[in-house]
Amino acid sequence: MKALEVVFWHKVDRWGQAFVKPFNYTYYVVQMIYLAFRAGVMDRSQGIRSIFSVVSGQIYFTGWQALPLISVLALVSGSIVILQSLSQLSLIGNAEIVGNLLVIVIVREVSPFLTALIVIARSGTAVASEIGNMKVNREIEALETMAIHPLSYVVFPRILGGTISVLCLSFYFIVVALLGGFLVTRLVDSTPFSFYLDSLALAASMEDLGLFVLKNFFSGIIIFSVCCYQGLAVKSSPHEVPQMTTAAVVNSVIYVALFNLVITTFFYLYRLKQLGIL
Amino acid sequence: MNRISLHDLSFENLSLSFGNSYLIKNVNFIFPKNKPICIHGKMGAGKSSIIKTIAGLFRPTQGRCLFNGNSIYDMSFEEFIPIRLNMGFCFDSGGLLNNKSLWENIELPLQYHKFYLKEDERSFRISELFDLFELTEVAHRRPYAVSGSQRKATCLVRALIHEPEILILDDPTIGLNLKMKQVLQNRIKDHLNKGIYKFVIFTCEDDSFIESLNSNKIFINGNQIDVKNQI
Repeated sequence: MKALEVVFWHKVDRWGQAFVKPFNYTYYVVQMIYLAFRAGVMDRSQGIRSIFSVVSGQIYFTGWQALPLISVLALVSGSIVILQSLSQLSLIGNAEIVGNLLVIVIVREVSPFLTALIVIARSGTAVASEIGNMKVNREIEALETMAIHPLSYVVFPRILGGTISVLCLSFYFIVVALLGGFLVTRLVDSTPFSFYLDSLALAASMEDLGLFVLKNFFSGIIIFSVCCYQGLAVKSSPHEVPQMTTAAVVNSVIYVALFNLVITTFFYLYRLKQLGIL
Repeated sequence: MNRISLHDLSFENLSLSFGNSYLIKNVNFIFPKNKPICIHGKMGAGKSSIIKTIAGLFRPTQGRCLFNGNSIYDMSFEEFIPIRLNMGFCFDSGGLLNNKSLWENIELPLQYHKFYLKEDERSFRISELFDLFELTEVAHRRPYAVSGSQRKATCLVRALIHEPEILILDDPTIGLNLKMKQVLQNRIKDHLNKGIYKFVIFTCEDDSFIESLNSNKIFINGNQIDVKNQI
C-alpha cells in the first residue's frame, strides 16, 4: 500500500512538473527579453556603432537574403488564394467582396504566419546554432571578460534586427501576394485591375494595420528571443548545439502558432462584439 | 565609463566545487601586489577555475572574491564593468570571435566602450602589438584561417592591449614558440617594473617562464592552496 502511495505521488509530481515546465520556460524567456532590452538601452558604456553593425547584419541576413524565398511563396500563395476566391465568388455573383476575403486570408492570417515560419526555418535555426557555437567556443565568456554584456551585444541586436526584418518581410509578402498574385491570375482570368484594387481599398481598414503590426512585431520578438535563449542554453559541449537548435525551432513554431491563434480569436470576438452579436 | 584602479585582491573563505566535489574549500588568500603569481596543481585540481573565478566567470560555491574589498559576485554586470575594463584575460584555448578578423577581435572592446580610446591611438596600439607578436600579415584573417599559435598570440594581445592593472592568463605559453614566449616575458617584466601591472596571475607548466618572471607559486593541495613553496 505504501509503495503504491509513493508511486502515485511520484506520478503526480511528474505531471505537476510537466504542467509547470512551459510556464517556467516562458518566464525565463520573458526575463531574458527584459534583461536584453535593459542592457541594450541602458548600457552607457557601449558605442552605438558596434551594436548597429550587429543589427544591420541581422537585417541583411534575415530580411534581405530571405527575399527570393518569400517572393516565390508569396506569389504562389497569393495566386492560389486570388484564383480560388475570384472563381468561387464569381459563381455565386459576389465577386466584389474578393477584397474582403483577400484582406482576411492574406493580410491577417497567411502573411504573418508564413513569414514567421520562413524566418524560423532560415534565421531562427541560424541564430540558435550561432549562439550555441559561440557558447562552446567560449566567445560569450570572452565578451564578458571584455566587459561587453552578451545580452546587450549578442541578444538585443538580434531581437531588434530580427523583429524589424519580420515586419518588413511580412509587408513585402502582402505586396507580392496581392499584386504579383493578381498578375499571375490574369493569365486565366479577365477581372479588371481597377475593380480588384477598388475592392482591396474598400476592404482594408486601420484595424487590419493594427493586427498586422501586432502579429508580426510580436512574432519577431518571440522567434528571436526563443532562438537566442536556446542558443544560450548550450553549456559547453558541441553535441548540444543541434539539440538546442531543434528545440529552438519546435518552441518557436509552437509559440508563434499559439500567439497567432490567440490574437485572431480575440480579434474576431472583438469584431463580433462590435457587430452586436456577442 | 572609467576604469577603477585596483589596490587589493583577495579570497575570503572561498570554496569552489563541481557538484559535490570540492576543488578548494574555505580558502583565504591575499594576492601580493606587483609580484606575478603562478597557480600550480595537478590536472583537474582547479587552476583554471580559480583563474576564472577571479575574472568573474565562475561563481564560487561559498565565500567571496574581493576587489578593493568588494565582492565581485555581489555586483551587477554593470557595476563590474569598471573593474573589467582594468582586467586582461587570456583563455587557454578558444575565446576569439569567429565572425571577426584578428584585428577586429582586438579592436572590438576598444571600440565598444566608446569613452575608451580614439581611433588613431587604437590603431597605433594594435599595430604595435601585432608587430611584436608577428601577427601583422594575418591581421585581417578570421581565427579559423590562422594557426593555433597565432590564435593564442591574438588572445594574448587582446589581454594586453588596454594595459590593464590586473592580468590573468590561463596557460599563456601553450602553443607559443620560444620567441613569442620571450616577447611575452619581456612585456610582463617591463610593465611590472613600470608599475602598470599591479597583479599578474597565471597558470603555467613551463618552469623557465615562471622562473624568468620571478613568480611566486601557489599550489592547490587537497582543497587548500599552499603558498609556502615559493621560488
